[in-house]
Amino acid sequence: MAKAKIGIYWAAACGGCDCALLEVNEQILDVVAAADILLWPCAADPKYSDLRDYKNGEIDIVLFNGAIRTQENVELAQLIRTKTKYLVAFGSCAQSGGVIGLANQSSRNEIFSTVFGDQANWPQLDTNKNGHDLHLPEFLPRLTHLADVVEVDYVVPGCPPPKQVVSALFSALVAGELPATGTVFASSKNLCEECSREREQLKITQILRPHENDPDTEKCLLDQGFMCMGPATRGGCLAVCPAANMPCTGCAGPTAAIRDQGAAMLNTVASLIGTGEEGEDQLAAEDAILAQFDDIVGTFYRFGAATSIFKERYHERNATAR
Amino acid sequence: MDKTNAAFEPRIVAFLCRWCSYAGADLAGVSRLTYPANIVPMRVNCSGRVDTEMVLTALEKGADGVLIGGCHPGDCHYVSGNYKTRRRVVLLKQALSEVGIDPRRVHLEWISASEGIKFQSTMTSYTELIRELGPTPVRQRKEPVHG
Amino acid sequence: MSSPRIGVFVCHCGLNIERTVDTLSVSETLRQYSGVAFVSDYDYMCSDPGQQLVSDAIREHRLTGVVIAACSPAMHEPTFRRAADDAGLNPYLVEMANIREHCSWVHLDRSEATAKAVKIIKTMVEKVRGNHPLDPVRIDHVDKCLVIGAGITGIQAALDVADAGFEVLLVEKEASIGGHMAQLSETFPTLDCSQCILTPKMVEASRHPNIELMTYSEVLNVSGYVGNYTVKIRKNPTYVDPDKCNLCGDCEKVCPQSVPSEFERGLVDRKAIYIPFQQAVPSTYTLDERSCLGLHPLRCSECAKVCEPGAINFDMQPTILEEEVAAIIVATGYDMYPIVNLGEYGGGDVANVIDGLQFERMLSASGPTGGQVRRPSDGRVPKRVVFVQCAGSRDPENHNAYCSKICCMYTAKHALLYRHAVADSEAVVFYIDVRAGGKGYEEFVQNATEHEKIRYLRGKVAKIYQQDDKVMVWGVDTLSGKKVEIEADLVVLAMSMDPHPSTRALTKTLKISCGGEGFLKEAHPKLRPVESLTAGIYVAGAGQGPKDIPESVAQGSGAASKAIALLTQDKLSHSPETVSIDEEICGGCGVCVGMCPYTALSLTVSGVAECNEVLCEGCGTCVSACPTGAAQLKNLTDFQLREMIEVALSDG
Repeated sequence: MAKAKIGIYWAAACGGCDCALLEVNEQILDVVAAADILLWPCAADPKYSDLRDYKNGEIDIVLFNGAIRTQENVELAQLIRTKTKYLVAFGSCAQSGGVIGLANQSSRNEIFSTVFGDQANWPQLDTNKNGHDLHLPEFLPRLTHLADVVEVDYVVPGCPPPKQVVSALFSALVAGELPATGTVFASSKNLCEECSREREQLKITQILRPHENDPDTEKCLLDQGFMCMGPATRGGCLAVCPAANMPCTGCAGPTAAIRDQGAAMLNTVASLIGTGEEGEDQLAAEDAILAQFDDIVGTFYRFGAATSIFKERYHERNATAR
Repeated sequence: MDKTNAAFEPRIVAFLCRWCSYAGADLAGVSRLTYPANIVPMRVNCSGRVDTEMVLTALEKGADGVLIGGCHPGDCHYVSGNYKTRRRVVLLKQALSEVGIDPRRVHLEWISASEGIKFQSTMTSYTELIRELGPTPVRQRKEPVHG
Repeated sequence: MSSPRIGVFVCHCGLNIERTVDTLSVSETLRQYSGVAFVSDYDYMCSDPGQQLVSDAIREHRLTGVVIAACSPAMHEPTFRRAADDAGLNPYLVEMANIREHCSWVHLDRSEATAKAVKIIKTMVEKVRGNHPLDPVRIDHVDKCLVIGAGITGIQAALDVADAGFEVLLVEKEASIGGHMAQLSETFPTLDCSQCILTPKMVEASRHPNIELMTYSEVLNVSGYVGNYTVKIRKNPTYVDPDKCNLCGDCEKVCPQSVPSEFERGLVDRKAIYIPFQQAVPSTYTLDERSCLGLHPLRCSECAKVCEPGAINFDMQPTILEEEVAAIIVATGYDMYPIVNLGEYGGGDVANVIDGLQFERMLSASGPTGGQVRRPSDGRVPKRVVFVQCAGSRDPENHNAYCSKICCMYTAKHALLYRHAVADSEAVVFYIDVRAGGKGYEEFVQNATEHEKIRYLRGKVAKIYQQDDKVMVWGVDTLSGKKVEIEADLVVLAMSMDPHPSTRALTKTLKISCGGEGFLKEAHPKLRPVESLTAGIYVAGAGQGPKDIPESVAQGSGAASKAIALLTQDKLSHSPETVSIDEEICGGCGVCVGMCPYTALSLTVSGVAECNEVLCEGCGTCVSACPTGAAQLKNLTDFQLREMIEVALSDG
């Protein structure tokens, strides 16, 4: 059997996903034995022309990490799509925009001001320096995810994808037994299934951020008031964060039946908030707990803001009205 | 914005709980109490069935306002579904504020089966409020230029 | 799955819909809509020919779903679901699109109403498209009925159910059954003796082979569902064995502890060991542990020492009984609005300002004064008595907003009985207006005003206070516009009726609701007055709202007939529109479990949630709370709702 041809690409990414590939340790040797890596900008230094020179569909599978932030990301995603048989959205950013999707809460100008300061320093799309025309790819008005610009065959969630998930993907690849397209390489259930903490699920009586208290290591973090995203997040990572006494931040995205992860978590948390009693006389006490939230988007949409239903920030005049 | 508010006809979805608000709407009908035709009612068993994702979906699909009608505190047919919805709406409104959407685009009102008049006045005043707020910014969202 | 073939039936409802909704245009639009295989409109779809039209179309066009665009589902949903069932289509594939109450009746502009009707119908087409055929859940049931409260309402209900051949568990909080009716002297408008008509019923209830009586008992917990409620009842210890007690009364004589008698409304004291009243059922003494010196032979035990039959047992413990019942009738009754809340009328301060029930006890031949009217302060016979109606009623700013309904009648009765009892007496009644609706009621009041020389003053009393040994009543006669100042010997306040204080806690236990005033809430104020919104739980009597004896008895019988109708069914059926759990998605976080008010949800040993469809009422609160989307309401899934929302907001 001919060796499989694989590619690894990063778009708007931090590099963590590329590192995560190596977390499988010696299994990478099996991969290298079974496959040729045709594209890996993180490790080699390919040119656009190298990619263009491949025949359409020549690459068997490309693991694409990072979000779609610039016009270059769009074009490369489209180019890669033509060159590969299977395209994998690898990691949270490719899957759902990831943590950098929170940038959609700011406008492009706000981002530029923050990053580059004075407008004079902002990048120009076209410049001429010493007689050379320079063109920078456009920084898109809104960040999005891979599936928004091309068809995606598989999703490997996680920030970064956990070792056992990557390993499962590699095993399938080496064996030449990729599952049906559309498969998400994670559990179909939520994280709670993998979490060993004890749940009482009585009520949420306070809202705590991780630094505000030392969580009990045995009890459900949500029960203690820490906004653990586990209930609204796919398992597959074996609940490593809660095991390390940190609340889940939701990097694997929601289950297949949920459209908007933040909304699902908001439903759950609001449903559980209370004093233990429900009644007209408890409304004020409930409001006092609800008022302890100061960043709902950052809490419930940490990885899903760009692909949430609202996707970005709006500018209504009375957004703070009641 | 080239549309003037006078020409603007708000699109509003109302989730009405079967036992109180939907019945209140029935009473408004039986009593021939007129109100604007901008609201499309949708029956759910309990306001507790109305979840945040549905409200956001309505906004996404172009609703200028979303109204949720439930039983008065203490009157919920299912004991306490309305309290849960109330808490969700409080948080959802805060979330809408954070993303720059006027939180009044989502409104929760307790309307009992005997409050036909309250149903009428709520529909009327809410339609007027949304008319003032203008079209939802969500519907006017421009897709980023790519591809 | 083959493509849907949905039929849409647009009703004109005569002109009710047709006047503002262009049904022809609606039909044309729907004919073009995806999945719609057949559209028809008709004058009255609910008529026999209309239903026939629906049935025929289901068969001829092999419809897979039906939308009836007509009135509210509250009206004719059962009608059309039955018609569909007869034609071989699962009834849960039929939905109503309410284009009458929610559209034609409330809009004036024909084009706006027509456009809205189209949207309403399309949302229901989308719902039907996602509906699945369902079968009603069939439930076995036990054959017993629980009646909570043994006043006249509860007694009547218990007797009716028992007479129909079913077992009844009659639970009463107090030491005797009988309720407030046992305290009354004579009853309006016929002036027959209250105890004389009540006690035979009390005895009958206690001797009926189908009635198990539990006095001094409280309902602690209720779980389960219609047909199969599990109730936990605590019988508090009376410390007296009713089988041994021979009512000699020796214990009472030696008991050193006196407390105000509840039955006599505090006009006299009773002992810590007491019998509430002579005709009490069960006929036994009760030792009230809160008043007793200590239930300890070393501390007192005077009563035990003198009790010849040895009926007194200080070691008696509360017993907890668990019973399965099919239906529950709640007849918790009323209590008087606390007189101390009426400080402006000297309530609780002025000894000679009393409430109506205290006056009843005075008038009663078995009462503390042997039927003589005497002032509490000095025992003198009052020569002038002022009766104040609406004390605590019809006063939304300060007290209860509602009318207590019976006070007009009992005040007329009080004044009349007083005039009969005391020669040369003067009776003055302050009233806002006299509400005497009822058979023979108006005639009774007319007689009191015209022939019994009772002075009726229309107006509200502003202030009542003590002056020397008189009670001063300040008020306004609103007919003459003059201030009135009356020097009275005794004032009787026709106190407002409150729901019994135990009502709210009990409604929580039963998971039924009570209205803002705290009275038990009925399922429909007109058409379902004795049903709660929870299947198998019925409400009756003054706990549901102020009412007199005949109305209470009628409601008791009404609730009993509802319970009997349930008990006589072979099996009960329950809506199948319940929650289902997708086990592929559910990770067993358990959020749903705590959401369910009916304990329908639980976690299985394999760590996923499970819904007991017999318990599930289909509210969907758990569906909204479920963070994974695993919990879905059958025939109203997230997917269906999304489709419905989309079409409700679409342009076309």
